[in-house]
Amino acid sequence: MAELPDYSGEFNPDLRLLDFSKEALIRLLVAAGKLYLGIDGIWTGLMRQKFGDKAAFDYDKEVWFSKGLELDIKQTCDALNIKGNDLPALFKYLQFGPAFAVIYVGPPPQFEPRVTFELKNQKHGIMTITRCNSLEYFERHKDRALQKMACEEIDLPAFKWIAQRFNPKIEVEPLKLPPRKIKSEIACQWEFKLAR
Amino acid sequence: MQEERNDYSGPWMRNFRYEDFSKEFLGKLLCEYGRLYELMDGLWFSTAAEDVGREKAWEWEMKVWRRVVRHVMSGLKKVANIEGNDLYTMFKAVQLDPCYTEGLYQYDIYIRDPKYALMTIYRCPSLLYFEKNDPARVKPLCVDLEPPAFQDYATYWNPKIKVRPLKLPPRKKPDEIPVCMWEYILED
Repeated sequence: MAELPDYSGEFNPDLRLLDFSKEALIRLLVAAGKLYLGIDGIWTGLMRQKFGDKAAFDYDKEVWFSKGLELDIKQTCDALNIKGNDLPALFKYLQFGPAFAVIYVGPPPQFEPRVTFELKNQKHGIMTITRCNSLEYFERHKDRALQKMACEEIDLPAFKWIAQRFNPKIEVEPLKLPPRKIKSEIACQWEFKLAR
Repeated sequence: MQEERNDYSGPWMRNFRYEDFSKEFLGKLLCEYGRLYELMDGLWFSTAAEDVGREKAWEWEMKVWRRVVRHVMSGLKKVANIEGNDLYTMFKAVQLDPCYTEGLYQYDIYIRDPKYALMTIYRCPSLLYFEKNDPARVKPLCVDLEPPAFQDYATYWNPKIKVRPLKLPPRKKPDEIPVCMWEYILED
């Protein structure tokens, strides 16, 4: 049977994911990643309406740092069969982060990654987010409070937390963070070092 | 062309593309993302419930799921190029909903004719979780939340599609199947 490029054709009661083309599966993967992050956004939005920014953001941080990140790493690494505690293992996980690199891609069929990784050596790596959907959303809605919370209060400690989870000797520092002066700037850049 | 990878246990790839991985692998990963999507909601519910109590947190849970429908459906409509407003169209979207991806739920969709269909769910991970960990949540989930949520999914595609539960939990025995059954009628 020919692979389905999308699901514009007949309804198939026995449909399987593998009936789709690889490109269609990647599109679905991106959509699932967006929904995963999206339901977090809907909860945060609801809490902001009810309790204001501070309480909502405190909840969001608690969700991610209590169990959210742990589950994210475990489910992703188990599915990918990623083992190890070095920088390449960490970068492999980040390349597939469902609320992260998977949704930061260009349009099909290339799905050009907008998160790039440079492993300078086994102990030093740079991660660059060239375009960030979330940052563009914050900029579009002029929501500086949410941008600051996401970039500085969640992402910054989250990348440190994730790195530590892989290996307590991995240190993370931001080389550049939003806000941006102009839209052509990269969104953010991070340095990862495996300490001696 | 390099050989497709079935997992990511090999060397790290600098020039990384998702297409370097096999379809089987991408399908498996999609199911994991669907699982994370539900887990994220569960984390929010339990975190909020610790502060405000389960009843209040459940009110918000219901609001979240009724808000998420249009995001799920519009995203799938776009990426899968699904057009139309009949029962077939709606069930195409249900099949691709990350919550319903293979391995999480077991279900059957029977469309008898363009105006009548049945959806039967044989395995529901949420029900299994709540039966084991918090039986008092079964009724709020299955009886209070799901009927309007199922109707929201249908209404997104066509307000004339009416959804009615034919069978709902709680179950009398833990191995009772189906766990729930839904009737869909496209009204004139």
